This record gives sequence, structure tokens and C-alpha cells, in this order.
Amino acid sequence: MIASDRIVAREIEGEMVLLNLDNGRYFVLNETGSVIWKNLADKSRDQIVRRLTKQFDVTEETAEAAVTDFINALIKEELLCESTAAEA
Amino acid sequence: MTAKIAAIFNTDVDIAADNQGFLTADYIVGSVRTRVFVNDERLHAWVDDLLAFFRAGRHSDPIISFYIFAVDGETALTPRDKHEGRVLYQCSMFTCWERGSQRWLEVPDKGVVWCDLAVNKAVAFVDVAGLDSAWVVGHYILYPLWIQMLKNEGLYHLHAACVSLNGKGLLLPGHAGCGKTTLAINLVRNGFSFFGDDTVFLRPENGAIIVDCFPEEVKLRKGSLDLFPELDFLRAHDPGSLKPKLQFKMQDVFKDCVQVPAVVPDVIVFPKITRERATTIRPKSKAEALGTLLKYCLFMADPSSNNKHFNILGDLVDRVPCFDADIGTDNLGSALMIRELVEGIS
Repeated sequence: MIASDRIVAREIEGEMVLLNLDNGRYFVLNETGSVIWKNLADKSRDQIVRRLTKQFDVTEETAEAAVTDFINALIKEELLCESTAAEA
Repeated sequence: MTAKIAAIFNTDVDIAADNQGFLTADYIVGSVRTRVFVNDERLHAWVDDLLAFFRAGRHSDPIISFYIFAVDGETALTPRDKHEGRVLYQCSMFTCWERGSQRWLEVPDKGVVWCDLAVNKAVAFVDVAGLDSAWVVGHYILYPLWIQMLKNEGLYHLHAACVSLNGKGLLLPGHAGCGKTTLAINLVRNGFSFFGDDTVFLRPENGAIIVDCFPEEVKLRKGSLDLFPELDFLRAHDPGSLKPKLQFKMQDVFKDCVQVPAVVPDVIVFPKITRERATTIRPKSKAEALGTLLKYCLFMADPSSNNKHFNILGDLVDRVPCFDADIGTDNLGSALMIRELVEGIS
């Protein structure tokens, strides 16, 4: 998955703010969401899950659920689209 | 131009090259010159009064041209082919459509505005019978697409009041009713300079961000009059219960409160009126501040400028400290607290 080219993002003090350029909808990500977003481009889902378990002291199951929910939400808001390259 | 207008609207209006027959006036916001052409004396007077602070001579060509035609009834109020475009944004008062560089704004029972962002030209047809104030002309007919053309010239609007103290700019962003006007009046009567109570423009310049003021008429809720004895004269001009707000020009009451046309913002305070007596101020995270600013200026989101608008707001919160303020009923106490905050910003 990659960020839609119609999205601009800005990291401020560790938190991400995203803006959909087409409709003006914006999103302020919490700390967990910011970590997932920043790693989506070059990390596999498993690598992101492992990072979350280390950084936030949560179980792998909790981290997996968080990543799945977050990615589904991003797809629903058209913030993510399928990458042409195969996912690692 | 004539042919283009005829193709878009159900009318044949001749806005000939020499523009004869129009009342015209030039206005400069930031460094952007707009020339407004109006075919009706009352409309011209309203527009000129709204933009009086920005009056300019006619020594150079305008960057933006805005034609406003007064018409009667249904004539020319329906743009052709608007539904071939997509809805960009809508609210209870108007809807805006997009097709390429063209925009249509429809204000039911009042008028329609067309503009082409590629050439910085706008044409409005307004039903004079449906208009009852300069405010309606300004906020529904003139401002939405004019503000979009200003954005494309590097002036990015923000729904905020702005004041300054000793050259330090204080932005007070907020939605209608949050108390930014009441707070701005309170600060001006306690020594701050005034830049605007509802809309200001952000402009990048030489690596800095400048706030260009927009000191239009201040609109105050009747209930707030009790807080400001010097505004008591407004009670005599109360048009009745149909108008929930009273209007006045800040510079008419507080002499010399508008001193310079622009200021560098040094601090952002997001105000919220409370019933508590004391005012409390607390830091706001920059990400949250950016999200809140987006809410206050991107409701009229336009793909042609959203990226740059987002970036300048991001640059702004990166540079200045941001605070939430619960504004109490103790006017002097809140003014002193905010004065202390601004003076303490290095």
C-alpha cells in the first residue's frame, strides 16, 4: 500500500497531519497512527507490527489489530491505494 | 469575454473591452490589486464600503477583475451546464461547482457567480430584490471566489481575528460564536492594534509569514454589548430581532487602532468563551493546532490551492507557539493575561 498522490502529509512534533487535496478532509493522527503511517512506504505489515510491540509495549495480537484497523480506515478515506510493486 | 459570458449564462451581457458604463474601484489586499466593476449604484456603494480600507489608485492594471451585475428576478441567475462540473463545497447558503479552472457559485434567491481561475476574472449576477445588506453581498457573492483568486495569487485566507501588541502579532482563529470578536474588542480597548475580526490573509514573503489585515465591519452579538460601555451607541441602531448581530467599524470607536496593514504572527490563541470568571490558557500541540486551522479555512477546499494552503498553515504552526484559551467573563483579567502571554513571547 502507498499513500495516495492526492494526499499531503506533515509531521509536527512526532505527529502526522494528513490532508486530502481533493476534498479538504484532514486527519490528525495519534502517536500509534503516526508510527504506522511513517512506516507504510518501506516496511512490511509484519515489520510495522514488530515496531509497535517494541515501542508501545503491546502484544503482537493488539498491534496486528491496530495496524489492520488503521489501514482499513485509511483505505476507506482514500488515503491509501494499492502499490504497483509487490509488498515485501 | 462577451461570448464566454453568453455561453455560460442565459444572458447576453456586453462587458465590452473599454468597460464603459460600469462604476469601478480598485482595491489592494497584500500586493494583489483587484478591480471591481458594478452596474448598480447601491451595489457599488456597498462593495466600496466593505473594502474601503483597501481603496487604491488606478495607476496599474488589476491582477483580478470582478464584475457584478445587478439584475431583476430570475434573469441570468442560472448558469448553463453547471451540473457538468462536480460540487466542490456547499453550505446552507451556497454551493460551488468546479470544472477545470472554472468555478460556479450559486446562492439561491440571491445570485450566481462564475469565475475562471486561469485568467483571474469573475462575473456575478445578483438579484437586487433578494439582497438586503452589504454583508450579504460581501460574504455570499464577492468573497468566496474572490478569496479563491487571492489564494492563487499567494494570499491564503484564515478564519481568524488578528490583533497586535508592540508589533507582535496575535492570531485568534475560531468558528463563528467562539468569542474571537468579543476577545478582539476587549484586547483593542486595552491597547492592542486591530487587523481583523473574522478573516485575515497569510502571505509568504522572504522566508517569513505575513498576516495581511482585513478590517471589515465588526459584527457583535447584542448580548456582548453589556461588556463594552463604549459600544452602547449601537443600541440605538438595533434594527430589531431579525438581526442577531450589530455592526460597527472598529476604527470608528477606537481611534487609530488600525495602524499598519500587515504584521508577522508571533503567537496563536484559540479562544473559547466560557461562563467562568477567570481566563485559563494552556499550550496546544502543533499537530492539533494545524488540524484546527485546517477546519477554519478549508471548508471551502479547492484542489487548485489546497497543497499550498496546507503548507503555509504548517509553516505557521511550526514557527509560533499555540495555545487554547478559555476566556472568562472578567474582561480586564483576560486582557491582562493575554497581554502578559504576548509580551513573554521572544
